[in-house]
Amino acid sequence: MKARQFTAVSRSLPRVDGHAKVTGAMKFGDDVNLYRQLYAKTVYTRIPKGTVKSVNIDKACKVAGVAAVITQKDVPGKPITFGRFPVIAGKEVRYIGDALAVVAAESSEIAAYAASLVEVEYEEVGKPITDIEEAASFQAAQIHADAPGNLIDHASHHLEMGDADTGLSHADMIVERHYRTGFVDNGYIEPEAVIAEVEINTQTVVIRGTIQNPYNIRSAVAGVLGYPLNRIRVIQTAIGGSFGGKDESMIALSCRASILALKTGRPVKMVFTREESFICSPKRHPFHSSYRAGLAKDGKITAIASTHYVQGGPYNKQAMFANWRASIHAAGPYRIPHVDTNIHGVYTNTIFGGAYRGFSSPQVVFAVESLIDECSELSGMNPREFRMLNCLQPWDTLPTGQQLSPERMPANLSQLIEAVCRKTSFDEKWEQFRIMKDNRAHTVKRGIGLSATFRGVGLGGEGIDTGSASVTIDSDGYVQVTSGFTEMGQGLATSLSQIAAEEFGIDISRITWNQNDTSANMDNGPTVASRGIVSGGNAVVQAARKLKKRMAAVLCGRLGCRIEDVEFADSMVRNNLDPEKQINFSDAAFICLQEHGISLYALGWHSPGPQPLDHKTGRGEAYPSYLFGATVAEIAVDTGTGKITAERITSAIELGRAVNPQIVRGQFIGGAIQGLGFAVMEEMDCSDGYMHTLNFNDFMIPGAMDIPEIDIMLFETDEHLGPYGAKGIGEIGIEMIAPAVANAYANAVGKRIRELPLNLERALAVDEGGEA
Amino acid sequence: MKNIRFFQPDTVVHALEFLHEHPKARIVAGGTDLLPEYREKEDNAITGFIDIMRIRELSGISFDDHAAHIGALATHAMIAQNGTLKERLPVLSAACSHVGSPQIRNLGTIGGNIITMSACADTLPALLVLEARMVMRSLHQTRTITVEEYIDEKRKQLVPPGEMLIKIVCDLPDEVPLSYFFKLSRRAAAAKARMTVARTAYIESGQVRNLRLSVGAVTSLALRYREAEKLIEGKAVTDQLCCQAGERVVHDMLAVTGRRKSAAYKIPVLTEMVRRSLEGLQ
Repeated sequence: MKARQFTAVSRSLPRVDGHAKVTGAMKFGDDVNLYRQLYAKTVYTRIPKGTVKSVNIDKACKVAGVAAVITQKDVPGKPITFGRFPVIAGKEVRYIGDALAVVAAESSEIAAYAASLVEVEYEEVGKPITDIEEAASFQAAQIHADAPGNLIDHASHHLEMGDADTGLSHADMIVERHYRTGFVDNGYIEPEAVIAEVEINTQTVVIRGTIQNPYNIRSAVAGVLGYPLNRIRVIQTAIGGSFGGKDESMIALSCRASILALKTGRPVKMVFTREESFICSPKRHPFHSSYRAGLAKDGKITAIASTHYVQGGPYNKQAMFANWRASIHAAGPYRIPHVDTNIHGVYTNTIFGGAYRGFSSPQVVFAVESLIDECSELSGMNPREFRMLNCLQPWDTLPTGQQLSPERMPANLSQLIEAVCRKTSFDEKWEQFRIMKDNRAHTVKRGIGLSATFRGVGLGGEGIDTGSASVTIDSDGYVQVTSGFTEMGQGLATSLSQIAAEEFGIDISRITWNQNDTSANMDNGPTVASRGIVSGGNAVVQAARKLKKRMAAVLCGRLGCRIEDVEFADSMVRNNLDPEKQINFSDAAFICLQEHGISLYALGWHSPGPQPLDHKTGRGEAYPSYLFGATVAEIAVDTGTGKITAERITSAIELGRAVNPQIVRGQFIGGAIQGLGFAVMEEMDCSDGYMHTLNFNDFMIPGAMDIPEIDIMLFETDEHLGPYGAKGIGEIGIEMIAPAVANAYANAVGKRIRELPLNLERALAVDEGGEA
Repeated sequence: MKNIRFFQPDTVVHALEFLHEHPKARIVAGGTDLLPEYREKEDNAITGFIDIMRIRELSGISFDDHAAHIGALATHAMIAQNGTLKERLPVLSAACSHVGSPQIRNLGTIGGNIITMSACADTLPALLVLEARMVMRSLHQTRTITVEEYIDEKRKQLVPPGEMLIKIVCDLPDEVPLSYFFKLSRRAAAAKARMTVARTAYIESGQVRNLRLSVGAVTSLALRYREAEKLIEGKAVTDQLCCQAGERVVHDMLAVTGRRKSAAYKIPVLTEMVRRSLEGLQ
């Protein structure tokens, strides 16, 4: 495959949606308006925990311009959707984002005013449980009557290789450390928006909005309405950022808008304010991780045992999956003979955890890569040497028993570590800064830090991984590609168009990408886990190859060759053995359709099938493949103020194939910036059950001035899994930054911060010997 | 639903008349603080807005022999980009260039920044060390008051009703003082100040003259620190003096705020920031 010459892939072609986006022409969720639409607003609970004695909607109903006010009794089907989440709460409220009523009116102002007139009587029952320790303690009140210990259903996972106690007992030193992270919002600039209408002719509920995962929304709305799936149609609009976030919040909005559309017979629009978005959308789960590592005198790790408690909030759809992913990655990309990992999720009366780019990796990679750095210090080795000594190599076995067989997975982590360290002169700088940290003449210290990672591709054992694509060649030889995956800024529309162009040997300008519509394509699960390129791309390849085969069967006679010698290249269909004999692609399509009546529509369906993994024992192949990466962060620390400035980030990534190198870099850089925010500034306060971080002036995310130079080295390999070897780059960029920054901080000032973010107060207090 | 009066006068007199009739109405001078505040507080008492953005006489920057006259509606961008101000009043120019983001600087005005008087207003420490004066007008009188006096009135809730800021007047000394401005924030731009230090001074034959030092965002309203100024006035600056001045500022700051939870951070950092603001005078 290496020698293969590509014509459309492996090239930085312009984005197919680029022009509309940069000119402002693109229609996003809130840009969709329908004739006679109503506007709906949610009435939220005023207390985070308590019993609802009554909800009085009389005054709201009397406001001129109000079309309907609904409460839980108006929900036609099941009032509960994801992870125990009530579309509209009934007798009990468990967090500050619980809805108690929804108002639809002629304008959003009228709706908001009427919503303010809904009268609710509460009874507070005990204090809200707001942190992990409290939720997991013996005395804690149960947030759900049927969830003892406040443990989230199916979110406890155990992974064991060898015997950690034996491994620790053989160690010359045991390193015990605790790491913490907090709630972080996805931070997309566009708030959630949806519009639902009842299509009268088919009695179908049609939902358009800023939806990351249309099939999730379809199932949720079907359940809430008591409808079959085929009478719910979800059409995705363009999305201004999602990163995993526009799922649970979109379920809530879509369900409420759909109930109101059915009740009023009019389209109903709902748009979140930023405050609602921060309260009602999922966050990165906070982690409390406790590690014990066994270290031998020669610097080898003998065992890693870890326990993680993960904060889920009152309802949780993702902890079971995110925790499982965490359990596979918690011991890092290292060859460790004895591993023991335990992870649990707990319910709290706070905002809730869900999917955010990285999906538990940012938290565990921060913990384990900080730990590895601490181990290297204690071993008297530099962080590069220590990682080189311990990192996974080809043929090594992961804690699940899966072997990294080189013909399937290259596992070239040591090469990546060497590459980033060489590029940044890591060893020299690390040594120099370590000496400089004691020089009192400089208040601004510099530091350099390393991190390494591996990342399971796709869903793996989280669930069945499928991908669908339908490809249509029209009679003029132009092509439509429709995928079950969604474009949400990550560049999938462009990458999949490139794959189709590559297969047919035509220019990308002949391809039209159709926005996802659940009634036009099969349910292939959510667009998550960086799997769009692998599962979506494979489905496009498969559909295209079906069509090429059909066309070749028709055309081989005219071209005077066997079917297998028909080639699609240069917008031609030609005899590979006698290239003079050729038909242009447009004529070829016309002949197949109009003269032979051949279908030029095909469905591609990709599924690797269930992972060969025993979920009871955790043994087997957790993921079909892995990406590898290494990152160096260089920072300056102002020891007088605690201000950390990132100066340069250098990464090396093994990603299989870059279908569009520029988009790959964009994905990596975007992730790295979010990783930097996680590292030094992003935090949310829901510590008393009320939400105190309600807008972007409180929830600080990096701006252009905070972004350092980011240098990415892409290592392409021939992989068995995705199209042309591609493995999916969406998430690996985010997870290596926080540990690299924390390790650089330790290099700069000689002390460690084990809790994110490394904000001004923490960075200063540690330096002053306060909170180390 | 609430009815809000919205008035858009062309002249100061019309604005003052409306303000007289509707004392609870709020003046919009950019609105970059006011509108978020209005939106955030559901039960706010605002009954009307007076948008003064169309009053031409409030917007210019002009100079006479001794002073700069900065209209209340001069935006942060206008001030930061004005060549004369950059040269003659660098501490004010620097303060305005640190406000928010380019969008905020294009819309937000110096008058708005002063009158809103948030704890972390970026221009106040600069205006305090410049001993800037405010020309205030009501229907029946015009008065001139220093920014420091105005802050004091504000603290004591003695600001008379029905008044409008017309302009800021800053003296232009023959010799431009050595100036220092530093804003510490959690993000490089578009961020609230965690702490702001402004300082001006002269050095005559190795000795500090006319030192003025102000710190914002550590107390509810920005303050001058005269005791620390006195400590250094007339002396040659040494490392030790810089540290002592830092400690003095912290002492005086704590006398205002008391010891809060945030003091654990503020004490060492304020000491250090004051020290840094002075070390350049050595």
